[in-house]
Amino acid sequence: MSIIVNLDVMLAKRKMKSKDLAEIIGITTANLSILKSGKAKAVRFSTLEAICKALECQPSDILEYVED
Amino acid sequence: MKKLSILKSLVDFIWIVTCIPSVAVILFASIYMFVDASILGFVFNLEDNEIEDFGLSIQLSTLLLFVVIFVIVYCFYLFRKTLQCFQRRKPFDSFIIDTYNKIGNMLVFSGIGATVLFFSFRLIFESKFEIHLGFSPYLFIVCLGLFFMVLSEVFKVAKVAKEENELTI
Repeated sequence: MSIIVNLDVMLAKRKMKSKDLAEIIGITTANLSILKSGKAKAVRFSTLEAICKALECQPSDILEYVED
Repeated sequence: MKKLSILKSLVDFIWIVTCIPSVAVILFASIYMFVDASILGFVFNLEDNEIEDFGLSIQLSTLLLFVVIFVIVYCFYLFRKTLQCFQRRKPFDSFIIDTYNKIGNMLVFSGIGATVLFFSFRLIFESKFEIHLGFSPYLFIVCLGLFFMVLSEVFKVAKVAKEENELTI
């Protein structure tokens, strides 16, 4: 997939654990893992908003377009 | 899911009361008709005085008819199995998609086969050229088969939609 999820990078920058982020944004760790691994087919705006709020970043910091 | 339980009970009842005995009778008749051809009188519901000399061609036609009936019974068996899958709350299982497609193909084959068989039977043995374009059980079977094939496609689309929904975070 040409959309890369850089959630790992942002979590490392903010020194936050996946479990903590999952708790803050209100999704399961399994779903967060799907998102991190790039297996997710879609991301809801509400989820993206919650992630940006928790990590104090912009959507572009999490999602990146890379040409195949 | 109360309706599913009622449907499953009805299908089980039909399976036990009608299908299992009919399979046994068909198997017996398909072998015995080559030993004693007068059994075909029972198959075609003929009176004693109507029984004519049943040749090999009629026996083979009857055998083909039995194959068609057997295929329909097998379709019913597969349908019963898919209902078990529904009861296990797995409506979009790939087994159901494949089975519905298989049922559809077999029903279309049976419907067309039965139509061709009866048309040829009347043409060859009764010298009648008859085409029934109205509502006939064979046409109904073909429609049912096509419906199952469409249902299989619909389930395939639904499965993809479900997977996408599950992978939406």
